[in-house]
Amino acid sequence: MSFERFADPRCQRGLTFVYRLDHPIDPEDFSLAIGPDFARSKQVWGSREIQIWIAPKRFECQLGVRDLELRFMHRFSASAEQRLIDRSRFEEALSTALRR
Amino acid sequence: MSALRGQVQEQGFGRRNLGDEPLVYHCNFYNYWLQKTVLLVDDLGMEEIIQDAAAASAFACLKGLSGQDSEQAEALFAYLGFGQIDLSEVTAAGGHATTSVSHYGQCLSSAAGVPFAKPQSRFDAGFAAGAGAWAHGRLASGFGASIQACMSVGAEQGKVGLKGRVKPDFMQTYGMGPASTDARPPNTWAAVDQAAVDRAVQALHLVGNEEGLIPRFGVMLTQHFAHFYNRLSFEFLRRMSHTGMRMAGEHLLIDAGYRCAFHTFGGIFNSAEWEALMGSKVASREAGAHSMASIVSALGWGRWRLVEISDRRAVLRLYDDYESLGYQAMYGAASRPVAFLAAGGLGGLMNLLYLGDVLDKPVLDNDYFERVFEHPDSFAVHQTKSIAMGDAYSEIVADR
Repeated sequence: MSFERFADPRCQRGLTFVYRLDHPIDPEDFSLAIGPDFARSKQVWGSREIQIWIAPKRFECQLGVRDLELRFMHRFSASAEQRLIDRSRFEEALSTALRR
Repeated sequence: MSALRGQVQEQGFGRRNLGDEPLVYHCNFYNYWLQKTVLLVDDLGMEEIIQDAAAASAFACLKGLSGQDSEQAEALFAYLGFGQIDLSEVTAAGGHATTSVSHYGQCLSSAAGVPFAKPQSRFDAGFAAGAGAWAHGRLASGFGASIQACMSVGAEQGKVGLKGRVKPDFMQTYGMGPASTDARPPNTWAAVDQAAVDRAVQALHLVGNEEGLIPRFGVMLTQHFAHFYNRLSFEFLRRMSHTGMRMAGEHLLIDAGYRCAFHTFGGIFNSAEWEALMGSKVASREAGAHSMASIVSALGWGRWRLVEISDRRAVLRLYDDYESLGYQAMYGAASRPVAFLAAGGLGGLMNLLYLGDVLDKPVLDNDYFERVFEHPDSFAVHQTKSIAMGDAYSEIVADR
């Protein structure tokens, strides 16, 4: 594994996880790895461009919030079972993108 | 879900409005603490005020937007970050509304830290009543609401029953009211360009996502009705005054502001959004304070300007602060300053920076809270000027 996962201990606990990477990934590699079934968008936060993938009512993933960091956020609407499936799929895609 | 017909307008010194109703951003912690505070004393009758303030605010905002349909009200609920509400079972005679996602039903528990014994979704009930009344041609007071199920106490979804009622003495919102002053906020820190901060915060697109929530800055935000907060705070204070406990009421409201500062400002200081917006500008505690004031100034709270700041004392001037303007519009001139949230906020900000070393990104848990906020050398706050009393700006001093 070339990432570390941290659970947000505060307001969004149980919903938000931060992933720290040991090297950068290409957003296009990640996009290919996670597949096409997501709403993809960009936001500009100050000097940063954030790449966002959203599986409606399941999760949101933000790449670029900090250097070598991704933020994964479950939606309230997703069941516990769905959350496990989604996080597993996300981590698999992240691992694939990190290997490229 | 249909799109919202209308958009937030900027006005005056950092004021934001939608449908001519002023909006302010606040997070789940303040929403929890303010509600808890105003409900502390059982016999003040504040449950009804919470629901009626929500109904009046929702009704007025929807009236200020075009059209008259339930879909618009559902879109508004989601856009503002309150969750997802279904009003399709409401008719002119009543019915029920359901929430599949609810800020008040689901997001307050992380603030409380313990399970709730009572439903927390009084705002949702009031919103359903006001929105249902608006959509079906009734007066703003036209529906009474009762919470039939709430996710905060374990229900799978929220349910609000609505029944027609007559309530002639129903509260009114005050809209945007008059602008406070011709005095312009001074530029107190050259490194912050307020217009640029406004644009940067706007670019964060802080509106409800597809499930109607705003998970940003490490907290759950809402774009809330200023009238709602003001009505809760000042009606609580008025009723406390009648029992001879005005000062206790003021202290409680300031305490809610302290807690807001701890979690909202603490969350912002620790967030990736903050780092992205402020980057390397925050090289000192003073810079942190000025930077936070500029962010706050973009949240609809009015303009915050620190005209003096050191490790012992800070002087904050507020231009168009929503509490003072709201008080003035609802009750006329005040005999005492009324910017309680801002006062608590300043105290909290100073304690976070100068006692809690928040720029070093500590873990913001209860131990930290107790250590910082109950420190014997913590900052005390005093309100020294108030727009609500006729001053050109409101002013708060924090010292220790």
